[in-house]
Amino acid sequence: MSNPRKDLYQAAALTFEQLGFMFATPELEEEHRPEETTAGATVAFGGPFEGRLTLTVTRQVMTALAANMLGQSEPPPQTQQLDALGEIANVVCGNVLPLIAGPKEVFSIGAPEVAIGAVPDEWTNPGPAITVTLPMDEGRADLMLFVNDSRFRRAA
Amino acid sequence: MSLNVLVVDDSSVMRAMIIKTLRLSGLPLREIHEAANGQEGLRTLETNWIDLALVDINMPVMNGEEMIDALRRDSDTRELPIVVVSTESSETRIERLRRKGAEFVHKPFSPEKLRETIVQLTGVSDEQSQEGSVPGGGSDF
Repeated sequence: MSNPRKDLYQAAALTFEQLGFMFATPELEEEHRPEETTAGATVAFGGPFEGRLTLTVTRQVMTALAANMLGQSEPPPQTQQLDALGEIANVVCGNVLPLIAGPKEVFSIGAPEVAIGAVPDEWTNPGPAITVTLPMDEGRADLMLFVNDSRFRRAA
Repeated sequence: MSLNVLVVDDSSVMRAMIIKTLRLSGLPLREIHEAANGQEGLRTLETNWIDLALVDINMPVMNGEEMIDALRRDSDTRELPIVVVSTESSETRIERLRRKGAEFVHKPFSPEKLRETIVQLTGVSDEQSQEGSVPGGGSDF
């Protein structure tokens, strides 16, 4: 089996870079360390195994992401910020699943759900199979991949 | 030939990204229409002349593959050039889409890849835009 944690990091870094023009840094800047995440998105998936991917981000990551995707210098309205966040979660999910399961498996990915503030418990409960943090100049993104498969619980 | 394009994606931000990429691509564009799901896309096709459809797969109400199936059943849209722009990575599903006559661009996409795929599929090029076609087009959004 591949390394799911590395696969998730790779899929997230690629997606933020190519869609959001935001690049992972080796570590989180001191100024961003105390920050709580302020918004989240989740996508559920089914197929050879089922689960969900949940993404939470700090404030500046959310505003910069949407602005970058839209090519704007000013932060877009919150609805577009949440839309952008949901799309990033969707793309990360779509890219990580074949890395983990192989290129021939077919998954169905649900529509993204988004939330401001603390994300609903059901998005993060029970505990994640795999957790990855993507530090960036703007702040951080936390990704949690929950998989209903015993092989992934061992990889957590 | 200037292209009338339909962009179908449930994310308004992604639609805006695709449209911006099209406008910066140098391709000859006329009107650009948007739809948030396959059903809206089919409704747009009933009332607008479309030369090219860019379609996501995972959408609510009607997904992209269902929309493509409907287009291929209709004699008016059977030959419509379609590019699927999706996170879909299953070789099985991508091959199935290709058998339905759709080309495929994977998200996240590079502007160059999207442009190259459209040029290969439609045969349009920058040269045609230099011959007097109107670039840019308008948008329903």
